[in-house]
Amino acid sequence: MIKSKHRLITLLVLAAILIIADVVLTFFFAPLVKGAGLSEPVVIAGQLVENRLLFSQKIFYLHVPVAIVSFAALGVAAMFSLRYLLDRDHAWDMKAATAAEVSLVFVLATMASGIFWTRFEWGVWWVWEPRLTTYFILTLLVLAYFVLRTNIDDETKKARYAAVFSILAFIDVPISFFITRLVPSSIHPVIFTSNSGLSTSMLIPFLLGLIGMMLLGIVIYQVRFALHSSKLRLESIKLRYEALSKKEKLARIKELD
Amino acid sequence: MDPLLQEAYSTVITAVPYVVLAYLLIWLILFVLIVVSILKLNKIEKEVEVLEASIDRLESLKQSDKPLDENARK
Repeated sequence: MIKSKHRLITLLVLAAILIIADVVLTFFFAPLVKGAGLSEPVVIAGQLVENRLLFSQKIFYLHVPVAIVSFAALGVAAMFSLRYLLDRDHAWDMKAATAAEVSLVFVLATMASGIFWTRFEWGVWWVWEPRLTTYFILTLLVLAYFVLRTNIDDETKKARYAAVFSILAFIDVPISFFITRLVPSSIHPVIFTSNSGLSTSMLIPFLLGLIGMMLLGIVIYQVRFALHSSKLRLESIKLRYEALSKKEKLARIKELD
Repeated sequence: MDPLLQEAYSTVITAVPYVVLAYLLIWLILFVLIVVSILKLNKIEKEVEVLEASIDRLESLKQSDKPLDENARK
């Protein structure tokens, strides 16, 4: 227990260092990307600038890693769900539900950060364009997974239905990821292409943020899993305590008789 | 300020609140979840410790009662 706590703290500190490094490099090292053209070129810090400089793109350095972790966590949940369907071991179901929780929290963080970029760049809080729509469907699917779990009392049925639902929900992940490449009318920026235009000074903070967020996802998964395991342990200990105290009471009554 | 420089940086200042809010929201969501989970975990672990101690006490009482019962029967 103590060893796993130390490992968890180490991971958390490492994740925090990477994310802080990402933020520092994003704001002080990564260049501003170019927007609409200027009426006349201008020289800034010895460099010819012909376009407006976009600061809002800085959201990308944390928004994209968070979105990738939300996809990855749902993938892990689907994998654990498949293992549950193969083994029928409830430990896999608990692991799948925990991974889905991680996915949910990263989905919410992605949505929250994304709408600010949308509001600034497109002038509206929401647009029903392909990427946003498929990601919104993903959000609803992850929420529905927990609604399903909450509304089924029978543990075996709950685990089986949730496992099937989780695998089906994962189908939306590749759709949401590739939709910007498949649908030409998509106006959402595409990051991962053979010619994404990411210079080293942009790629480094992005990768630091990605690794940092992945580690943070692992930390959240482990903390939530420990929490669920402890809850189960507490329930079984409570039952044992109640049984023992009942026996003790009966023994005392017998003694008095 | 040079009007051309002003034009080049025109979207920078106006974007700052949106970028800051986006970063803060991401951190807030993740930080709140981690803190709430750790606090809950500590609370449950304490409860487990207390119950385990009570169970040990009950079991030791039971064991110490046994020889007494046997002596009384004799």
